[in-house]
Amino acid sequence: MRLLMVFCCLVLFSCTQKGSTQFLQSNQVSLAQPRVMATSTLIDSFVTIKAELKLGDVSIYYTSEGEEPSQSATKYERPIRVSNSGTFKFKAYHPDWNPSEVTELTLYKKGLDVDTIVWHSNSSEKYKGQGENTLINQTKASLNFSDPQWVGFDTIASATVSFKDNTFVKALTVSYLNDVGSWIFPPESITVILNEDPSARKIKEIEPLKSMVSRKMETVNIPIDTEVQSLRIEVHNIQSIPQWHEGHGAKAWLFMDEWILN
Amino acid sequence: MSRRKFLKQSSLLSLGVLTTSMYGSAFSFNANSDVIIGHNSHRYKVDMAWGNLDVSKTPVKDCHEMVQDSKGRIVLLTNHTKNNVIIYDKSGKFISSWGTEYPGGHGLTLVKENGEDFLLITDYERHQVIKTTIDGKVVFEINYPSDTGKYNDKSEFKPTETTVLENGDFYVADGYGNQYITHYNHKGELLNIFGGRGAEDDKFLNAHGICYDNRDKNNPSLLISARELNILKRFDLKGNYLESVPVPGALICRPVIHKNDIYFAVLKSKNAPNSDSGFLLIMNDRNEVVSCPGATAPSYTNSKLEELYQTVRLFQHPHDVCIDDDENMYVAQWNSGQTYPIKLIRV
Repeated sequence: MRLLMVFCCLVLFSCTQKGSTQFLQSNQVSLAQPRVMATSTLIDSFVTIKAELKLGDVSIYYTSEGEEPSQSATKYERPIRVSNSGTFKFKAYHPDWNPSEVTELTLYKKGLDVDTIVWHSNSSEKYKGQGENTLINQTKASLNFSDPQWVGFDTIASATVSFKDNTFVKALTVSYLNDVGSWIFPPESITVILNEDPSARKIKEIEPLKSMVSRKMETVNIPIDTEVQSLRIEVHNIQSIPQWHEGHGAKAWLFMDEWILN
Repeated sequence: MSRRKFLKQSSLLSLGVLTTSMYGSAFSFNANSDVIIGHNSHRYKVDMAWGNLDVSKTPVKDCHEMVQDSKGRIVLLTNHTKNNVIIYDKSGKFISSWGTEYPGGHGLTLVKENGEDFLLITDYERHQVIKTTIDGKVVFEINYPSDTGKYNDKSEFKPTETTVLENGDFYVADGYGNQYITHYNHKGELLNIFGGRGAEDDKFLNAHGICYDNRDKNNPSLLISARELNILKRFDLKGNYLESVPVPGALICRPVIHKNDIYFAVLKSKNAPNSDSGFLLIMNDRNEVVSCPGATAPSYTNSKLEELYQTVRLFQHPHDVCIDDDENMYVAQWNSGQTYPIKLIRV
């Protein structure tokens, strides 16, 4: 749409100013999103965040309370050291080009140590991560789906995680990749069964996507608030790719990152 | 793209023209704020309106590749089967169009034989390479190389590019298929096959483009892009691997040699959050990156190229470039909302 508007303006100007080419103006184009890298997105003691957009005269502003960064927000000058969980938003500004979209980065507290994980479903042969423990190895993935911290499924991701002893769990955070351009969709729903007791069941539905979005890592939080020894976690893929997508009707991919228990 | 989205865009387009014309005089652009993209020796102004045609008469789908013919005309290959080939003059004026049978029309190479222009078209849906005259008459068709034993059936052959030598020999890159490079004589008889799928030096992941490099007359060679690997590879004419030129972060489409430089459309930036994160890339005669229109300035640390990425959202998925005899560049884009090519004027 953005380019379409540019295109419309230019079609017009080429009509109104016959004979001379109307070249593209910088205020008709936006900056790309700043690149944001963290040493880890799971905080044990602290992590360091770096942001950049290597273009002359660019300034990057950021917030850590969730609001959209304006030019009166904090200016990024050097790597940021962070010890508390939270969501950081970065936005690039330039005197000529239009501001970028926001790059968002969420940091989480490192989770409880899980003793074992037993899988009930198979991951894809091609995207099996770093083996059975990939989702509980306290290492988060990057945005790139070929990063071996991602585990890909084409139906359901189902496994039981167990602690050595009964442990109080406040919540489960499930991280997944939303990259619909690569046919990787958010899950449809997540079911958690506590201590293998089918009546102790928590279900979380996820709002289906209605249109294309930029790829991002997302999480869903499921409150547990009880003492458990084991949790059977079932992450259900969407049944098929929705009508609005070029792949409609086909199987969608589900890409799981870390399952964090706090 | 769905037909609905297409209709929406075309109606918006006409609406845009009608409504903005009323406010047109309210805008006055200072000539000094013209965008200039690129670095060092290769910098350009951008003409987004070049080559725009009436979508109801001469539509495009993906604009895959472009070449300039011997008459100086700009020839575009699209996978829109209403008019697979559109011929423009350099100002973007429509001259003619032809072709309704190339649903996977992808690679376009100009072949000059005894003063006559021909085209080599690869079609990954027809699983064929087709040689035509410049006005579209079919000279021959080449099917998958069944005798080599490298293919089970034709569906594994999805050729993306060709390149031709002075003697008429040509090579085909199977960039969407089994990743082999096949070598034929001018009659289309198979002489050799090499490459194949893999990350090793002599293999490819997405052998998307191939180009005959005779800049060094004593050592002519082949440049082949391994797009998924972000590497340009050099082979001798017999198919022996010679060297790799890494371009970190850049999903390079085919190499296009013009004078002593190599030009590339870069489909996207490897690690960008948005898919439409493409840009352009230019190497000098020593295969060093000197300019990246739409992306970070190329910089080498200990002779290693820093990762390149898009900095402004101007290009969507650039798929090919064509450099004309005025040193201006045309950019064909894939999956860009059925837009016509963009022209860059060298400054």
